[in-house]
Amino acid sequence: MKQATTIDLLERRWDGASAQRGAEASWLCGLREEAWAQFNQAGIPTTRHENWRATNIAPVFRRDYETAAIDALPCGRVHEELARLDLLGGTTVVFIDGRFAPECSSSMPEGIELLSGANALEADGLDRKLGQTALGIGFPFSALNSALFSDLLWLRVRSGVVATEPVTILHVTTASADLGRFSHPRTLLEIESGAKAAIAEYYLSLHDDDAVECTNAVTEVLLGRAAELQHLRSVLSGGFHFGRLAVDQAAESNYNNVSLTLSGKLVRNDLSCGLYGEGAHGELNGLVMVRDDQLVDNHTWIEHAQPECTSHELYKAILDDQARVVFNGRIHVHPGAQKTDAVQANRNLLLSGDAIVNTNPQLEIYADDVKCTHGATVGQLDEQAQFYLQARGLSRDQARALLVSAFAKEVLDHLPIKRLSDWASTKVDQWLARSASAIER
Amino acid sequence: MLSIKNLHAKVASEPREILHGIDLDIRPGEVHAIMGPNGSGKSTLVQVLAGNEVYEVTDGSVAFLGKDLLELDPEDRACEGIFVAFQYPVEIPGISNAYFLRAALNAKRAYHGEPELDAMEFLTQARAKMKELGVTPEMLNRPVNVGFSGGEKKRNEVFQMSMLDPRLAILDETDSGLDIDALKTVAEGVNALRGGDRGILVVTHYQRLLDYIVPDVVHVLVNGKIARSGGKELALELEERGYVDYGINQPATV
Ligand SMILES: Nc1ncnc2c1ncn2[C@@H]1O[C@H](COP(=O)(O)OP(=O)(O)OP(=O)(O)O)[C@@H](O)[C@H]1O
Ligand SMILES: [Mg+2]
Repeated sequence: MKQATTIDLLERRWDGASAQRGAEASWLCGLREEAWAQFNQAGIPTTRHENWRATNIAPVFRRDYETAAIDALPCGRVHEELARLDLLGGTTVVFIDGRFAPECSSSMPEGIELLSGANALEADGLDRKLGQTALGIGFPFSALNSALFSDLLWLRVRSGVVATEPVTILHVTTASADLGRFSHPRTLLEIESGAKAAIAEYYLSLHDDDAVECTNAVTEVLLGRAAELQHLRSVLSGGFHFGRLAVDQAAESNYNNVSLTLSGKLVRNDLSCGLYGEGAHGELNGLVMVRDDQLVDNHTWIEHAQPECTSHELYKAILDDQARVVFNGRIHVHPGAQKTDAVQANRNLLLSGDAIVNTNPQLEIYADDVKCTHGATVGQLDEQAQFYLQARGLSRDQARALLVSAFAKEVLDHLPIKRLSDWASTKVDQWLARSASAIER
Repeated sequence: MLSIKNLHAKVASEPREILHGIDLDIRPGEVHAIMGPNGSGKSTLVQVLAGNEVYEVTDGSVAFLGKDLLELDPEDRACEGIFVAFQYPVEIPGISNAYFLRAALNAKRAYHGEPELDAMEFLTQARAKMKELGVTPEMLNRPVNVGFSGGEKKRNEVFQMSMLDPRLAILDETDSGLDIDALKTVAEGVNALRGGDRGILVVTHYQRLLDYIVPDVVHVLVNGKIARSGGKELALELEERGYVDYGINQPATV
């Protein structure tokens, strides 16, 4: 019954936005129409779909979400929440329920442009940038986002600019237990040629874990020639999350993503990194820490489309209780992509006998002069490492805690910006503290 | 200081016994060497003394400085002053050598009711020892043994040993895979510990090491039992004749 309700809600929202669509540029209106048709044609994926076999998303469509916009933006509340999560300070952009909240945000430093609302949607050249990578068959929720997003966050780091401080982007949902929210945040990150930047995206909820919330986010990243981006993406809210990341890299560019999922009832991330210029380097790293009945599913695609590109992928998960983790990582080496060097590893640590991991690393190689390695492991703590530490005087509990924390933090070694890795490290410690008894077991 | 009596042990998950009644006494200040063919049980003895639960003691006793060693957890054995340099040091990704070693030192200090060593004191001490032992300074920041060459791992064990300043040092084939210079520095590290009331037990296949660390007693371990004990000349004899006298047709150096 509720499934119909949720679909009804989305349909009502589509109908309700017809005036907005009418006012938008015709290319955008066309994109939305096409996306909406794609979403309707594909329908809600079930476990019979190849890409959704291990993840049943039916529960997402069994909740009541509201459409009404909130009256006043609760900036005080947002800042309280930021303080609680230790995210205050630095350049910050706040989006609430998918809309830019300028009064909660700070101004951009020299060389970085922030566009939103009509400024973004009417800007020159957007038609060549938006939706090019995130639309597409097989991603029904990206299509849904394209059809329904109300505001666009477009962050542009101008050519040659080197931004040393990370920019924080916060996507906040106001959903609570009484007021459900189904939001569609849309972000475009453009790092022009030769520019360097660091961006941290956080998805968080103003209310507790029982908020009725679904966030359906799409982030597109465009890297110009020799551009560099350090990109942290972290899901901190307790609800449902669909996250799509599509990265398009030009020659010699360097992209480094760390995806941190420490929260969420059901999280599905579809992350793709396209090495579309010679000599580009792309990294997708991820850390998932789950407990209770959480389910986190990361699907990644790395496209080696040009010669001499390198990629690195390390996905790790720690599972407690009855939690479940899915990893599906595909590396695709296109014909002609010679001298490709691709490394992929998926490592999972089980703290409980009831937790389940589904891992499926895939290599698809159509060039002959390439170096590709991949591997997956699922296991418990290394007993011999534990003994080695004990033989040097560390207690059993101390040794186990140290090993679990080291297992997790290996991923954070790929986050070279100290402010971000320190923050992530603290979050990891907080998570581990709650699982102390399982670790000692 | 260490008194092993009629020690029998096996792999916990398997029925087959590996150690068939070992007797061995080490007095304060003594250096003992154990030699023996591959698979005779040398490392098993070392692991049992360290408290590795992979092995199970089925009979016998071990006393260390008046305490029942077999009753102690591995960490308490370490804190009581036993240090084992392992034949195959374990690689631990994600934990730096410095962090690990400081945690080990502080665990031992806490056990003896001493205050923690702060990061600066630790670094000063570590740097001095590293210089003595020819350990490169960047090794401190690398994850424990990860990507270390065979020789670097062994040097790292000796570095840990000298930092932890044990009462009884047990070295399991620390000389294997070392070049001549490394062998000398390792021997110097061990000899620096020698004397006073410290005990040292080295397991080796090579008489060469014993030129540098001259033992007081040499034991021949064959098939899970001490077949013979003698002075340092026993090592020379083994080097020449191998283990044929012990019913094994295998040269001593493999
Ligand atoms: N964990 C284990 N599981 C199964 N068998 C084992 C284990 N440890 C030791 N053994 C067996 O016990 C015997 C003694 O092994 P040990 O490692 O003690 O020999 P060693 O004297 O140290 O040999 P080497 O000179 O080659 O180092 C061998 O037959 C070995 O296969
Ligand atoms: Mg051995």
